[in-house]
Amino acid sequence: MTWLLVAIIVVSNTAGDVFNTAGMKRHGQVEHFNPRAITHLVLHLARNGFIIAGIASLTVSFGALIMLLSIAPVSFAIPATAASFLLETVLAKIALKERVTCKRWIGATLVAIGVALLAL
Amino acid sequence: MSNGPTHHTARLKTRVLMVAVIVGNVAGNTLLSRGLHHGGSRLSSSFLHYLHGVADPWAMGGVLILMAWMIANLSLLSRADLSYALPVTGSVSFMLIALAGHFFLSEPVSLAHWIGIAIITVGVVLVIETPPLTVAVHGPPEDER
Repeated sequence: MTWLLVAIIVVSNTAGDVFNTAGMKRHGQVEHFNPRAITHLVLHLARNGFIIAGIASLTVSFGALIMLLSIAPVSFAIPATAASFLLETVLAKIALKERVTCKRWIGATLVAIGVALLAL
Repeated sequence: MSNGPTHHTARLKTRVLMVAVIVGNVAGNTLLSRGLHHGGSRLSSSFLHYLHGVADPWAMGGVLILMAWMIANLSLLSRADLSYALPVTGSVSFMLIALAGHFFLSEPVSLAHWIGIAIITVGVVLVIETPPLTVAVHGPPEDER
């Protein structure tokens, strides 16, 4: 059950981050962070289909994370999702057309290995 | 790309957002975990069991912080690549969560954890040396939305 929850978290978290990134790139850069601007931002994003799909995916991930946190220590629960670093980097290149240089690949791979070690 | 004050301010905003995302992630998840463990550790098929767990004041504080984290994270993703932001914010959060788990929840930090933390640090330094944004941002200027 523990690893099934980890798989659900990895897949839904990856989908959520990719949808959210696509949605925010279409929204444009957020420049202002006062309460009025943040309210305006939230209302605007509530009509963004990518953000709605992203939040829905992250809600599934959050629900699975709450279940995992109730049966596993936090220092296992969070790092166990390390695979999402590489999966998201692959999708960032393919789906979001980001320029993932050699340096970024090595960095992301080291991060995934390091995070996996945190789960041991 | 210009290296003038505007570019410097934009880069500074991106860095500040990264710090906010990291701090929000660590604080939110640590409070949430503390709240959920108040009621004892067990897996339940009942949604009400988890709803009751989230109603704990610690967990409630965690959820509120994670809502602010979500806004900061979306703002960051409007200004930086996912493949740039995620390895940095995600992994530094994991390192701090492992350390917070050790210092505040008495969870052990083994040798493997310390090696993991060292490898993550090298990875983060490599990623942070790459340009933050490599794709076009299509949205109109904020004032025209």
